[in-house]
Amino acid sequence: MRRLFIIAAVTVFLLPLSLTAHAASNFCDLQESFQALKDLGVNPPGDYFESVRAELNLRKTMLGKTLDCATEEAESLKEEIRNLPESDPDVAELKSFFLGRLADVFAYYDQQKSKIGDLVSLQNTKNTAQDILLWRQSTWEPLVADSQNIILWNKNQTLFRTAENRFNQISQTVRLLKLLEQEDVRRYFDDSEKNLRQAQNLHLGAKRMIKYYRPAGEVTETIKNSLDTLAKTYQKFFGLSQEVKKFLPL
Amino acid sequence: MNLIQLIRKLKSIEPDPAYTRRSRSLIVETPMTVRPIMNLWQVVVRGLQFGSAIALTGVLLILVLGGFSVWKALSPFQLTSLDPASLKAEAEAVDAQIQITEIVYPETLLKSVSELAAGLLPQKTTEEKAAGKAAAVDTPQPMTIDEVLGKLAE
Repeated sequence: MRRLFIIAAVTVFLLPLSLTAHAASNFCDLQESFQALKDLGVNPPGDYFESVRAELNLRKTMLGKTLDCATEEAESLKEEIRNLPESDPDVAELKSFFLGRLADVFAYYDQQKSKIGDLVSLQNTKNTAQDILLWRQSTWEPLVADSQNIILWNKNQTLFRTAENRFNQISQTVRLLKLLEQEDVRRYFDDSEKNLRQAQNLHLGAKRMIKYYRPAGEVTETIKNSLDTLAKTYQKFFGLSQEVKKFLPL
Repeated sequence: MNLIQLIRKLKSIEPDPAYTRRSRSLIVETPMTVRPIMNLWQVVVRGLQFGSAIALTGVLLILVLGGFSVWKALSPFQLTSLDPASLKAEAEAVDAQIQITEIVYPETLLKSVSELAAGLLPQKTTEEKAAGKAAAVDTPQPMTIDEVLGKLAE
């Protein structure tokens, strides 16, 4: 029953929450506008100047819509960051830091949007699109990667707390029943403790890495390693359970 | 004397008068036990006694039929901490989170992995790249913000 409850909890809460960051849609539906742009090239509406003017207006509109999509994408990320708890001082500090960086993002998009009206040539619009793209690659993408790591790290907190509680209960049981005198029980118990401490160190290390601006890829790998080591801890718990079963009814 | 005569003779049997008198006086002098009328409090107490008896019987039946384990209940140790079912549930939650990490955060993971694996993976030929590009053109896919900006910059 409890197992079903935990699985359901994971499915119902964890997965949708985790997917939100990814689903913070980075898609922008401008298919129709691109088709209109293509049509303008094939069937110009009038003379050369009229045609250029129509294309310029269309490109400016498309730039504006793209910036709207980008703003919406940033809003989704902001919402996720705002949901981070403030009980852990490090997380609270990172939350404030990322919200500050997001404020810069919104300011940049607003600034770019206000400039669209001043674009007077097709080349101007192309250059602006290129500038925004480069800015996103150098500023936005690292911000997304870093903030997704702290969101993921925070979600793992529950798993680590549960594992620590489980270990404490097991520890109490095997000590009171003097089961640690059994060699196999002792071995599984020591291994599980070693794995748990290693997983916790990796988990805390990942938070330090985010705090000290380590590359996002390295942080994500450390987070994944911490979870893999936590999974190994549970394998040792299972082994321990099997050993204890030889002495007590479980 | 036949049997009929003997039975008829039984009709004339009478008790000893002194015994009759003594017995009567004993019966008459015995005080009458009148059942007292219960007040409201007594009715309530009786009801509670009856109700709790029924409830206790029910609890006992539930414990017996429900597989109650005296060992587990009386054990001062938390043996449930080693219960394989609950351990499995927690382990599955960890596995689910590992999968989520791989699904949701593949970009950051792949970035560093691809750096390590650079040169080890077979590179796509020019024909394969062209075929992929042609397939992408045939089936319009929703464009990302960066793809839109890239096209607007062309």
